[in-house]
Amino acid sequence: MQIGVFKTVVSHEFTLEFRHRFAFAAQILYVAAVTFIFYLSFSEPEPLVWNSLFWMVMLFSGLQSGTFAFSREFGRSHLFYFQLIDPLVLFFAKIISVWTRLLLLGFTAWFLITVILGDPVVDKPLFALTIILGSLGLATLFSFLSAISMNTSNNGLLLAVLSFPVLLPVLLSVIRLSFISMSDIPVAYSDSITVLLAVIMLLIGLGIFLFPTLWKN
Amino acid sequence: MIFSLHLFSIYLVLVLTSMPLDDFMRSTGKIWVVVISLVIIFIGIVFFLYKLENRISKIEKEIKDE
Amino acid sequence: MNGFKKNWYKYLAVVLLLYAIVFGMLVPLRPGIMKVDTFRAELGQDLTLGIDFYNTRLTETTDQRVWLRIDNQHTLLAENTEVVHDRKLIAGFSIPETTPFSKKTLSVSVIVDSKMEGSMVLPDAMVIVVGEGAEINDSQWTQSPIEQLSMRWRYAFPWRNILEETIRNTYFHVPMWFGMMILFLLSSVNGIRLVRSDRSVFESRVFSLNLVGTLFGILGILTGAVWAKYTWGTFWSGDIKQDMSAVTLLIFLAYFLLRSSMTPGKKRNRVTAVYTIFAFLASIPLLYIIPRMEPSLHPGSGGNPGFGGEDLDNTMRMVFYPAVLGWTLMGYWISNLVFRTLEVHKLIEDKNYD
Repeated sequence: MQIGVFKTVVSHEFTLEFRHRFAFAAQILYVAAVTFIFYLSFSEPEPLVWNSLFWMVMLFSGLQSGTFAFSREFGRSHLFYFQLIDPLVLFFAKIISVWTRLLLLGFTAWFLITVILGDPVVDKPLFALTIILGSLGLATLFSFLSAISMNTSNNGLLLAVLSFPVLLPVLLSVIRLSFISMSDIPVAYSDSITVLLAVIMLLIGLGIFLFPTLWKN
Repeated sequence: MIFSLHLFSIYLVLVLTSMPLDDFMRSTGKIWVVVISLVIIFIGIVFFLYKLENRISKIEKEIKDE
Repeated sequence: MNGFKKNWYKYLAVVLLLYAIVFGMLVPLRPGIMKVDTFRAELGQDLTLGIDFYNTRLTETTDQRVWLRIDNQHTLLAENTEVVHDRKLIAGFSIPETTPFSKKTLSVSVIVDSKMEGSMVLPDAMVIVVGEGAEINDSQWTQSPIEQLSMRWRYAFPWRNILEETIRNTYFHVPMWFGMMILFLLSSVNGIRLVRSDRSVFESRVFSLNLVGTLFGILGILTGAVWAKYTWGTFWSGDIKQDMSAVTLLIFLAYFLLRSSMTPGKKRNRVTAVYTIFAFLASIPLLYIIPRMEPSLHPGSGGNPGFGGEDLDNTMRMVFYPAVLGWTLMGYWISNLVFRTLEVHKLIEDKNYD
């Protein structure tokens, strides 16, 4: 039964997502604009610049998507949800919808940046894996933190303050991984993947434990 | 008494030799780095307790005002 | 007697801290070599090497033996030694014309052994430049192996070259971080109890423990910066562990921001408790996992074994663990004061509303 509910909630999330597709288009436009500005100032960036550009874009899009996912139905439907659904189901549905969105955005951004600035990535499967894991990490983190900051009055500012320090473990290992995928020399990267996975598991575990408490408010 | 004499002698050494602070910190096996660390911790805790006392005074005042 | 049952940990804190400060400051360092006055020599040269020592009494015996050491097999014994004063020695070597390896330079450690002071090492003290076309022959380098080193145990802290006396900071800087983590752990435990029971007593506990934990963290950063200035060269050297501990502090400062941005009540209690647990768990990878993967100046990084082993010998352990416990109990004591202040304040406010 739970799975049935879960499916319904997820499909509901996707419908909403689709209805708000202008927001997604706006984010793509944002990626294109930032990339073009970089193109004007660097024309042929080093992997270092490329990497920071890519993850900067992902970071801000993730922040936006995370806030959006919760603020969208704050209000009447929020109460409705609270009565009907197990908070955990909602939590996972949110994560999945934000994750999908970030994945779409990540690969589109990769494509866009490649077209405009060129592609320094050597190990493409590894970079794809990094995008998948990294966006999962960002999605979990922002879903969880926006649930916290939703409880306060000025949640946009607070979300930024709360999330940036905690982002560091995720971002550091992600940037390390994408660097490895851009170097010609093969480097062992299982460590970074383990750390990234561990942080994601930690965040999800925390979510399972703490999200119901937050939702009660 | 002995301690203050000691402090005075440090002052004298610094003034008479006009030794830069950096060299002073590195003298005697850099022991002054440890002393500074202890002083920082001490001052930090005292400052914290001072703030706490202010808070308690405020509460006392609230009680008296009733 | 009743008071003692309630206050035992405060007495313990005082005794342990007194012990840590007195012994941590007064136990001497083992003798060691501070520096040599020549950094570069050539093959075939007659070398007079002045060696400066720390904490030695060289004038009391005259049995000092000095070696230059390339590796375990290749060493050179000084032909004569002359004691200048208690902490200075001049050793004369005649460096052979031949080189044991076909390298351009040979990195040499200086080893001094005396019955009175034990054996002392200055690693990578100098280099010997090998000229063009030097004959490769190690027979002259193997005649005087290092043997019969005197081992002397004494109640003293180890000598480390750049650290020198600052090794004592282990009892004041490091316990700040240990204490901080223990206080944050306690506050997370109280956070869990708060989430379970919804009683606001635990909120005061969480707040006071976080406050003192953050104080310890700030003191740890400050003492660490001073220590770094006189050992690594700058107050902030961009070391990964320095950066990550600053981030940990930011996470907990955000807790106070979060707490002050909400109105008091059950909702705030729950949200801040959840954030505390979250922050504590997030700080573990920051302080204990990521720094180990990156190169760092701190011990226990770049795949090295963690704190302990080489950096903490048994003499230091005897002071270090009591120091950690003492500072932690001290922190708990202070947090208890904050806690009681908060509770009293709450009592008065409740009365006012009635």
